[in-house]
Amino acid sequence: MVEFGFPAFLVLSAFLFACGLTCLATKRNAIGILMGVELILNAANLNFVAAARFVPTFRLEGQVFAVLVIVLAAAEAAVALAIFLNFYNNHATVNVENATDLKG
Amino acid sequence: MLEFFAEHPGRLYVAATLLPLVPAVLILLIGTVRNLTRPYADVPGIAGWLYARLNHPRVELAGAWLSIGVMGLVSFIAVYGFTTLLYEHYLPRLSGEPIAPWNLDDTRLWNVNADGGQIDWIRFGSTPVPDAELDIIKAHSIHLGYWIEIDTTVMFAMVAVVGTMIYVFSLGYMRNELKSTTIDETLQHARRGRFGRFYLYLNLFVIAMFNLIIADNLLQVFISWELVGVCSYFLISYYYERREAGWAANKAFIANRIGDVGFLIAIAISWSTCNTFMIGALGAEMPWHGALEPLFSPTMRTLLGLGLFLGCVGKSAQFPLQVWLPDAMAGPTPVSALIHAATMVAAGVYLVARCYPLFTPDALLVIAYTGCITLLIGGTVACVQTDIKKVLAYSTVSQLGYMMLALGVGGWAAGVFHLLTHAFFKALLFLGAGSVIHGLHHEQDLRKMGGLRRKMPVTAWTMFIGVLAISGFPLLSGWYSKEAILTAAATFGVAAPSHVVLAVVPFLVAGLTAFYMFRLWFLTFAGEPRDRHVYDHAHESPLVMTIPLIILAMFSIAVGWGWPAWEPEASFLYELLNHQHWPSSHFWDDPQDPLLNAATLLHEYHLLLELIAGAIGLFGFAVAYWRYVLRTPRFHATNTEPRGFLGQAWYFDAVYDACLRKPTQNLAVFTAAFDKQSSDHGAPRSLDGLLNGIGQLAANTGRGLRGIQNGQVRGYVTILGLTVVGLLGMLAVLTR
Amino acid sequence: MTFHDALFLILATASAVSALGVVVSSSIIRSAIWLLFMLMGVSGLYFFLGAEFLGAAQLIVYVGGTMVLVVFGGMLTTRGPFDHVPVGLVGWVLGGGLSLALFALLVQASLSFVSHPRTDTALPGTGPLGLTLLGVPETPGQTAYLLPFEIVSIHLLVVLIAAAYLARAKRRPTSTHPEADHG
Repeated sequence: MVEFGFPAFLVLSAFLFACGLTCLATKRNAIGILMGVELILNAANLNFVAAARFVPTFRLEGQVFAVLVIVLAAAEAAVALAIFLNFYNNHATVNVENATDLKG
Repeated sequence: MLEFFAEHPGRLYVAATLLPLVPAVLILLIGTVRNLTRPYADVPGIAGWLYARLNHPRVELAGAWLSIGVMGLVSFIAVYGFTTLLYEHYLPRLSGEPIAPWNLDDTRLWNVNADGGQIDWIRFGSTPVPDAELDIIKAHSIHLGYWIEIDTTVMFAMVAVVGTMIYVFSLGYMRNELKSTTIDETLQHARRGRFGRFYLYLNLFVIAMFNLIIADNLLQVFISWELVGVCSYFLISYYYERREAGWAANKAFIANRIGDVGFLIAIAISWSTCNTFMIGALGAEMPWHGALEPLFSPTMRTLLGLGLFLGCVGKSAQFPLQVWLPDAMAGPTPVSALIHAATMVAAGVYLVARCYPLFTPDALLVIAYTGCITLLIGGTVACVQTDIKKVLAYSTVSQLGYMMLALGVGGWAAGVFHLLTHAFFKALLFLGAGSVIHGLHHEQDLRKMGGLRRKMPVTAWTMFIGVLAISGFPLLSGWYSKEAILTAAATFGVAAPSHVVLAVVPFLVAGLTAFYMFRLWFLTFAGEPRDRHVYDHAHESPLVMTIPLIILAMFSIAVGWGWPAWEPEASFLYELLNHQHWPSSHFWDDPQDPLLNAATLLHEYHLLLELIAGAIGLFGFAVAYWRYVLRTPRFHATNTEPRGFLGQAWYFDAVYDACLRKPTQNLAVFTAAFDKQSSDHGAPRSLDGLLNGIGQLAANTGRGLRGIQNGQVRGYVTILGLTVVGLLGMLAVLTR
Repeated sequence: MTFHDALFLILATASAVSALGVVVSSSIIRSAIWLLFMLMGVSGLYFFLGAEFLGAAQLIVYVGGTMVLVVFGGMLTTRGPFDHVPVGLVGWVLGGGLSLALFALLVQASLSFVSHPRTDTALPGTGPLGLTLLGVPETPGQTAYLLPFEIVSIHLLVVLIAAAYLARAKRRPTSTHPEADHG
């Protein structure tokens, strides 16, 4: 049906993953880092769904896992943002380079 | 109880071996309690009361008397065992075929292996496993066991009797130690008496010695061997405040350890090739005892023998490890008598005798030559010593050389026979010397003695018997054994003319023996007193010391007798030992045994041999008489210490000092200097520097790595990514 | 090029460009907007693959929920109208290089993926998916996912409480040691 098969989705997923990694490695804003994580999770999810489509044994499992990942990503975002807000309350910034209170 | 022993008479010997443990444990216990309660001596209460009860000479004396009683019982058992074995198994067959010792059939009841003779000590398997490759049954345990032969019983009886005499003698000699405060004669400082400790060590020593005698396997022998060594160490350093006592103990211990390396090698060889420590089983593996396919290669056989002998060289003070024995005289004199004359040094000779089937002709030749050199060294050096105990010490070295020589040239019975007779008269001589030293208030210098026969007649004349015995005066025990050795040496000299030196040297040193022993006696007891002060304060020793002397003198006279008494070969003990058939391995592959031929040949001339030996001995006596009685003024108290080649004992100590101690010490000093050398700013270099550098490296690495652990998410992610990239890259490259 | 191919290309390009936008924007709000488009693109791809439920869930949960959270978070923590946190050259080179290398390796792995014979069966619809999450297997004998579903629901509850606790409004400490109460 589609000419772009499984490999095409894998390549796109890899690109999204690489973008997420770049976000993690370069952003200093905590919310930027959170967005990098979202990118990576979406890359993984895309793989799951593509696998559900193209690998018969994963027909249902791929989707189930994708659902779980979406839910957990939402939870993670909620908690992360709560922590960032707390951090902002105390330090008046969300720059992760300032989070050095525990450094020995 | 009696059935238990009657079933396997060998169990008697196990019981006798363990008996001295009772007084040893009691003395140890009492001493420990006394030392623990000592801080509370002046405090009222049970501890103080206990201390007051235990800190009494009567308690120590009770321990000593208990030890003596136990030793008496052991002596009784030993004599009983000897006579039983004699009457049950040897006398009926004395005229028949010789008994082969490793063929246990004849003394089966005495050495039951399956039930009663052995116990498994360390088990490392449930059942014996046959080894198809070696064609032997692999042992599944290390066992303890006994192996009773006629030489075992005789040796056991000798140690027990001599030990008893020395126990009794020590009661008088060590009386000073009974006091709670005693004055050390050499250092002149006060210390506590150590009477109980002395008997504790003696008891431990005889336990180890008995176990060594009855052991049927090399490992058990080795354990006892080390126990004997450590007891010797304790007793030599008995006066440990004296510096030379500590040094002498160290020297003895180290010399013995050198020998033990060889012993250990031999044990390792026996286990790795034959899978057994049993002396009898090892002997059966030797080709000259009928083993068709011997497990040993010839080299291994020789190595096994030489290793065993190296152990005996250390223990029996043979060349080149003889240096420790004279120094060991730093211990109390009864110790010198028991350990360094009668029993411990005899252990080496006894082991060679016990393991006789294990020695190849090459090994036996090494033994013979070692004994020959040793007896020459001991005999010559003894002639110039001025310390009464040192003379006896070198004389012991020389006599041990005789025994080794006899064993080496194939005179097994002669060597063991001399071992027994020598034990009695050397114990007598040492105890006599102890009596003299005691009577002179710890004066050991021959130059200050003289004329003492008037002051201490019992000591003088019992010692005279000892001197006669060791010099080989006819009809005394030493004569029989020395004749046996000289005959064996001469037989070997005839059978193997290229080794004629082995026959000549013992004859010559027999003269030296007579010379130095009579020199000792003349200087001590004959002539006029050379030191008036010493002479005036001299007194005869109490009965508790002279009675053992008299008993030992009787043994020294009679132990070699047989019928007819004027025939040295008719000595009963010698005949008995000869009957225990240990064939010499020298000519085992020669159908016409040259030793046998030579023995037959020499038998025609044995009177001539006796005459030669007697003449040489007489010559030695004459020289001593001429020099120290007729020309007595030559020997004055103003004489300096012995010096020169003989005075320095052939420079052995000096050579060891220069070749071994100095280089080692220099190396150590050099290494220490090298190590302590520091760089300009004070930090040590080389070894210290290296070690510090390693520590510094770890610290620096940690400090550097701490920078990575900075708490920054970006850093972590970067490292994580790098790792993933690295792993995936590796995967991509590897799976290409 | 069929309609499907064109559709895939459009959706993929949109997602990829949006993701790149998330990375390069230095303003947090702009990044959030780019992320919004990326999420929508991925949702489109889910629809494209036939996973209608997932596509819808992506839109509802991510675009409708998580994105709002992120935007609010960004707005609450930004101090000025144009609060830029620029990235240095070293950061770009290091992060970019790393990501490029990883991307290259992943692409290499993806392209070497030997696909199964193209089965390409239509995905089960929302009904079977819901049933399997409720413990009813699609065909008897297959695995069902009731337990993970329950665990996730408990997890969500815990997260909800935790987030509410962490982000609750706090009274400023009145003690003399303000640093004694950091949260």
